[in-house]
Amino acid sequence: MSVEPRPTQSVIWRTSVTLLVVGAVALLLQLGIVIVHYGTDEDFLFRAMTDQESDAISDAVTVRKSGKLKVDLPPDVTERYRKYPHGYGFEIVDESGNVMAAANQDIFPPEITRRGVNPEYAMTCIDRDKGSLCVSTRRIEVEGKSYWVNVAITAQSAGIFSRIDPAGIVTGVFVRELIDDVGVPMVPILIALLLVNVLAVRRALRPLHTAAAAVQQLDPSNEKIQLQEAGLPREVKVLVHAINDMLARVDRAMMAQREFTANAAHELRTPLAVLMLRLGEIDGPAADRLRADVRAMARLVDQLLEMARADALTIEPNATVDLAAIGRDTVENLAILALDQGRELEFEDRGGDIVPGNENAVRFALRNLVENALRHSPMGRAVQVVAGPGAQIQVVDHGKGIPPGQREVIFRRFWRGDATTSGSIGLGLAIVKRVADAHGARIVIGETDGGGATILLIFGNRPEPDPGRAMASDRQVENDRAA
Amino acid sequence: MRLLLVEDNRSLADLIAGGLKRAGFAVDSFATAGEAEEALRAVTYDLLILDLGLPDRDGTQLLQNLRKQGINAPVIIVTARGSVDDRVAGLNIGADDYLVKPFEMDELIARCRAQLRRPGGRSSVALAAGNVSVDTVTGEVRINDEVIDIGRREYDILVLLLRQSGRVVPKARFEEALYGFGEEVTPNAIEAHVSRLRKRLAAAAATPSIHTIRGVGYLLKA
Repeated sequence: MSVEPRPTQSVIWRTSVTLLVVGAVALLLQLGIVIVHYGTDEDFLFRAMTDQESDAISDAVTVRKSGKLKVDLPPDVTERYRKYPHGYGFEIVDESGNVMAAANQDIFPPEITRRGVNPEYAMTCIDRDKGSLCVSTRRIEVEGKSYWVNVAITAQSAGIFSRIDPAGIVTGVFVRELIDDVGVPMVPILIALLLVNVLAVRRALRPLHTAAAAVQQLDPSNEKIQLQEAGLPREVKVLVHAINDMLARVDRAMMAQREFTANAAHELRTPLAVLMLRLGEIDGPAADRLRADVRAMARLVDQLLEMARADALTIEPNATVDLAAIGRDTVENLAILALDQGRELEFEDRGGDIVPGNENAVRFALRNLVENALRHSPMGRAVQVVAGPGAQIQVVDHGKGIPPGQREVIFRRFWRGDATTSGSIGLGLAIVKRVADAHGARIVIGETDGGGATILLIFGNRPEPDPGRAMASDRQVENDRAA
Repeated sequence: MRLLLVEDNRSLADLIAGGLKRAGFAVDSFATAGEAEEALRAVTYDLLILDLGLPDRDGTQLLQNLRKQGINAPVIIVTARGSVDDRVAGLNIGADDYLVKPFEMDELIARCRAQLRRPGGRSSVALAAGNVSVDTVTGEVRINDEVIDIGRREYDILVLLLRQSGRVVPKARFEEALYGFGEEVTPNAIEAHVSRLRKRLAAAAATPSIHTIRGVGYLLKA
């Protein structure tokens, strides 16, 4: 049974969704409470409705030059008064009790005193045969003079509402009350919570990002790699500690493998010496061929050791490599090998630099490059080792060249492009790669003018630092930018 | 010339001893450091060939003890430990040469000879490669057993090349050896001499050839 992988979601997304759900539940709860509240308090909503009505009327009042009032109601309100002559009514009364403006005045019940009263606000409802009638009175001030706006609305009970007016404006009032009581306080709180959540999660996860960056910087082939545990939050520390445990195990495994390679190679040398000396006592072309095979095998043993050493390579802070000297030495040492193969080896110094690095390592990297070039060179042609200009050294051959598609894979361990090429097990270029990486050097493969491969080792980038230092120097860069 | 060989691998010890005997050396062969020390108390050897990985003790300890006891015979370390650091360490504790396994018998014999002629400070009398030989005392150059005449500079070049037969002799070495201090060397002088020597050798049907290793120096290949 295959399990569909769930799409990965960020922690921010997950916590935000949780918060939203909780917020929605809280909102619903509060809604419920508000609805129950309005449902049980009969007057509350109606009071709000008459308030709203008297507000609308007050806003519409202006004083004419003649001293009379003019009420300019919005068309829908005017329409409502026209349509429900027994549903809505209002009047505006001055201090002396004179009605200054009115609509559907008849619906005001005589038993409710409404003129000459002097409260700021009052509201009263009376029950009738069919539903009830509520009247509110409220003082307003227009151009320094007090007036009373009296509003009367008839109502019936319906649904959750104990009173509903004929045009149903109470539902609008209800919605507005909900927005005011629930939406206005809750929505900003929810938005603020979500924002705080994003920031808090980001902040909480920052040590994890830092740890991840440190893990990215790790090179498992280096010895003794551990992440910093000090100063990490407890939750992240657990993970980092587990990673460190795993790194230690990987380190032990790598070390065991390196030691095994080194020991095995080492132990092979004595039997090879026996073989070589025994062959020395035999003459003839078959013995010569065997001797060549033993030499190739001895070289393979060397390469295994070089690989094991390159894997454990460390670069002392003050160690340097003279590229010109090392180029010359390499040509000097391998010249006889080239001549034995019917090929030539040349050196040219175009001003090679002295670069930071491990001399032995660069030496065997260069040796492997030259051996590789010799193998792929046609008989009678020369392989050139060129130091410089600057922090680079190149090995130029006139063979078939390296097709662009193979330029990555040739550096893999035990990779062999041409299985028929003898004397190669495909470790040489892997050693070159490992040494280059440890030095922060680039390997560039190009074409030689007139055919063949040119492989450049370009130094000068800072050597691969340990993760702790990498972060420190990145911070330095940031500081520099800030400055 | 009596040589002491300390090597615990029986096959290898037999092969080395056999090869050295054929080359005219007398060889005593032992498998442990203890046996070797005992023999050294009884016999004065001209040269020691020492393996480092011995069953009873490390070869480096044996060497250090010998040097402390004032045994100054040249020591060639023959070992499977091939790193530059191992080499330097070996030479630092008093070895005179360091040969990494596997090696060819000729190489070991050449190194033994090189060590044996060293204390006198004199270079070997006879140098040879292929059918070319030089007597450095009389200054006689023979090709196919016939004495030939060559110029002084060509002779000096030939001697340098023969001494390092199969290895590159850097150009600077020729300049040092051929010209006195302050003497002006024209850029092509060495090249001209080498070219003349080459023609001379070819004319006399010499088997070794001189190869130019551009940018580095010259190499005599037997």
